[in-house]
Amino acid sequence: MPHTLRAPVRITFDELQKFLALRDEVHDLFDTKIECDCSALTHVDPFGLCVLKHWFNDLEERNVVLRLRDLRLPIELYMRRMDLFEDCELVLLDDRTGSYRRRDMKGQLIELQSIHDQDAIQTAANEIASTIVHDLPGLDFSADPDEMTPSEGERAEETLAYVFAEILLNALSHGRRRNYKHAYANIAARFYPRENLLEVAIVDNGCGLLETLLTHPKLEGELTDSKAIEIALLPRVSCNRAAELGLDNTNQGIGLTVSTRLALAADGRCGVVSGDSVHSLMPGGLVEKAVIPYWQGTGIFLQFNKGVLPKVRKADIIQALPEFRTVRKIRFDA
Amino acid sequence: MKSIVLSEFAAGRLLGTREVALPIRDQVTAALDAGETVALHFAGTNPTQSFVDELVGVLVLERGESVLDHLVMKGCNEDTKAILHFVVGDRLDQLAERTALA
Repeated sequence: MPHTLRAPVRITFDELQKFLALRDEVHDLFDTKIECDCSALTHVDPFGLCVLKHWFNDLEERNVVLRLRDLRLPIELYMRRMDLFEDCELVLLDDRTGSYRRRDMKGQLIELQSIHDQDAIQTAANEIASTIVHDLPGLDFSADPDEMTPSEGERAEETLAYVFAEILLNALSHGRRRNYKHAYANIAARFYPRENLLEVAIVDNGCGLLETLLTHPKLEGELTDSKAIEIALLPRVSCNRAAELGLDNTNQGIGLTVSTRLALAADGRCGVVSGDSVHSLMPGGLVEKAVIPYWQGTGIFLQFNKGVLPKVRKADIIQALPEFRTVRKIRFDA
Repeated sequence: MKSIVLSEFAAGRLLGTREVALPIRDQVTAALDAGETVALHFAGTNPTQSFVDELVGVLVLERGESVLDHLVMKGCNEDTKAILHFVVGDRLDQLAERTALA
């Protein structure tokens, strides 16, 4: 007799608790079958896709067959279009997409990708950013006649590529250093034309922020996932200044800080999930915190207003960091 | 002067990771050890802070502030300049902390 589950209405960053509670109902099963009633499921955002993919892979490692029943056609089509079921041989569902006219969602979806190797980060970050901006409607790519000023499309692409590279590097490096050798990151994006919002999610199954920052002095006295998230969002938080990790592994930890501030500057919002905590940051400094069922790893949610994204400048964000200073000894030359 | 054109190492314009910076820094180190000044050409690139830190920040940490006398940053847009100022400034502060503790 298979175990039965009932999927929530939404699997999204904002309602992550419900999905994780569902996941926890079957967390200790091996070599068995699960039937999941998906009749109520209507929406999965990029963050939801990323955590679902991790869950599918986890179930497969435990030889658990998952049958998704009564999945609504539009949501099934969307999931297939996003390659959610790729390489998931133990996830079964009725393939009715042949009888459903494929909606052209070009310009709205970027297929979910799994990044396993640090060597792949630079290429993947560039390609994903390029695909996103070239598919977004209404971005101007016309070149400045003097070729001195990047187009708004190029500026948007640069910002996104920077963000993806920094966050993917965090996702794949911290865990690997702490014996999470098989840690990998899922990345997905979607553009919502009615709201003019681009949402991006990058979710890993690594060691999580608390373990990354365990010896950081700012954590002293409060070893919690929530505190770790709070500290991780501060600039110059480096987990790797410890001498035993070697000089080449030091870093200054502003990748996450700058990335989240870029999203906020682009009239969006951002969020971080790690361990039992989720922090959601809004423009104006408002932070909402909540406790969630445990996520092993870290997830980043970023939202950008498409109209504002080309206007945000990394230089403005970095120069506004408290520790920024001009170093006059640097020799610049045109 | 040794010139290194960084766009040759980019994916598109992105210079994204520490791994990409490592072999470039090896070239820089070899030139510095030979007494050369090194020009790093950033034109047409979109470097991350991680890349710049591995390429330049580590040099500052290893060789001290004087290494800046032998490095020329060419073709930097405002974003790249901001990243360089932040990275170098932070590593100089770290050097100063180490000196104070010693």
